[in-house]
Amino acid sequence: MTQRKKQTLKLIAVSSILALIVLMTIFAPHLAPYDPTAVQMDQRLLAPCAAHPLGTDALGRDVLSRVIYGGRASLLLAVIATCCSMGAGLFIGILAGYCEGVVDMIISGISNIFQGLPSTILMIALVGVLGSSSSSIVLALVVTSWVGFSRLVRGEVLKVKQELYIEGMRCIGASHWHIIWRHILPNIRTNLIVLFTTRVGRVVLSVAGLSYLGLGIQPPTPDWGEMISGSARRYFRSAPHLLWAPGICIILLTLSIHLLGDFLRDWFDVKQDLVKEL
Amino acid sequence: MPDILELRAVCRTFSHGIFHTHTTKAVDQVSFSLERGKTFGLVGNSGCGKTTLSRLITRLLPLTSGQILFEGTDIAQFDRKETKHYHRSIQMIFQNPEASLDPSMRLRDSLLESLSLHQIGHTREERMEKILHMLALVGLSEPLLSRYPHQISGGEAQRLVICRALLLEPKILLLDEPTAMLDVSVQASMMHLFKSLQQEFGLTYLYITHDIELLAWISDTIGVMQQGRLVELGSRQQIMEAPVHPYTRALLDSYSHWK
Repeated sequence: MTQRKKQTLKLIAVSSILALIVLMTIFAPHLAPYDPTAVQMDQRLLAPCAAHPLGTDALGRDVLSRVIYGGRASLLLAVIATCCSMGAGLFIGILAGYCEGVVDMIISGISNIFQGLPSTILMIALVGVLGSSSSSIVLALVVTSWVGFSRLVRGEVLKVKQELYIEGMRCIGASHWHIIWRHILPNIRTNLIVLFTTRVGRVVLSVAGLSYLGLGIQPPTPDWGEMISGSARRYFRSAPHLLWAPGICIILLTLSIHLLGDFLRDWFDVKQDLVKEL
Repeated sequence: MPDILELRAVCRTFSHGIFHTHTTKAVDQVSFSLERGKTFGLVGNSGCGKTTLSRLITRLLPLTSGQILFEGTDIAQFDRKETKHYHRSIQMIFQNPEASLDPSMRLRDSLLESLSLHQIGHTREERMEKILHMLALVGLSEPLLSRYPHQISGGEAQRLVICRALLLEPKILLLDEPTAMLDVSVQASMMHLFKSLQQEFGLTYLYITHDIELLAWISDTIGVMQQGRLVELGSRQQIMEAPVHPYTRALLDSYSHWK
């Protein structure tokens, strides 16, 4: 029982951190004390003080406001991109797993090629070629992450498809569409939720990485990755406070998403074990 | 009137190897027919092609050659509507009842689903009424319906699966080792249930098993399968009292020795 209590405490801690960050980014306009893009050249590089709790950056912009706004673009992009790649992965994975045979062979071949490509380099190349707009970032993220979904879905579909109840449904004349929608999807749902959560965390990190390289979210839009890259080069020694806040935010966000994903996986597993005991 | 189901020289081969050069005859020239309202018992060791045969009959696998006639018509020539009718007329009961229910669905939804697939009943109430009626016939009660498959016993699951099959008002029940996974005490009551349901609905059974003594009790005609071929076919009396084929004798002998 203590094990479960510990787990519950962990879940509460992790999800409240995550909720805090998400709420902060959603309600940024109400929370931020200043306009995150307002330049004040007479207040450059101020150390933390009463008026600016986290100081100001090289252009005199309030760091606290920028941190509060900074998660918006990357979280939104990450969620959209993960939804898109899950959609693509679901479609392709179900196609491969359900049809098997030649279709599966072709799709698996293509998946292997995509999995073999180094994703960061592919992403940089795509964004570099297409220009760094939100849509090209999403496209680059989908291109590099659909394989993870499709492989998992394919495996799960192959597994579920062999179950007797699927065969039974075919015996009573259910259509393939009906079987996929009513019997296969509900039975792979939990795995999808877990994968989605862990993927969002990874994609947030990818977006931050792209922004750090100057390919992601473009200034003046406030973004954690961009904030770090903007100040890391020149002010790492003279004004290190510029790095801490966005850095801690990225760490907290990705860590809490990952831990939540881990927790969900354990939780569903435990539930399945309990089910067997009953 | 033609027999309800007739198999004519049914064959199914599986090819394997890189160039599909090796073939295995899983079912080889099997012919027999099911008489209305009677039980046909099919006996044989595991791997003799019994299950492949049932998959051929339920159209989960295509035939390599031969014909299966349902009420005088070749099932390969059915159009969409007739296929659906065929799927409804012939219901399968698997060896593992719990695995034949979707674990993510409440039992009620599993039952309602098969009714709505075949457009039986117009409203949910009408369907529920049918379900409750049939549930009583197989010896289950209503509170069970809000459970999930993992929350009921093997015997209950098997009764529920039978209930689901009977809701579609089938003509033939294909029973593939339906009691093999159940406790001996439950087995006997299941066998009695099969007999009483057969009388009540005039069902035709194709009972597939490796247990020849079970067939002696339930079937009217017995077919013995060995390595994909039907080696002996006869009435229950013939097979039990005067078996001709050595394999049938071996089956019966092993049984009496064990006793």
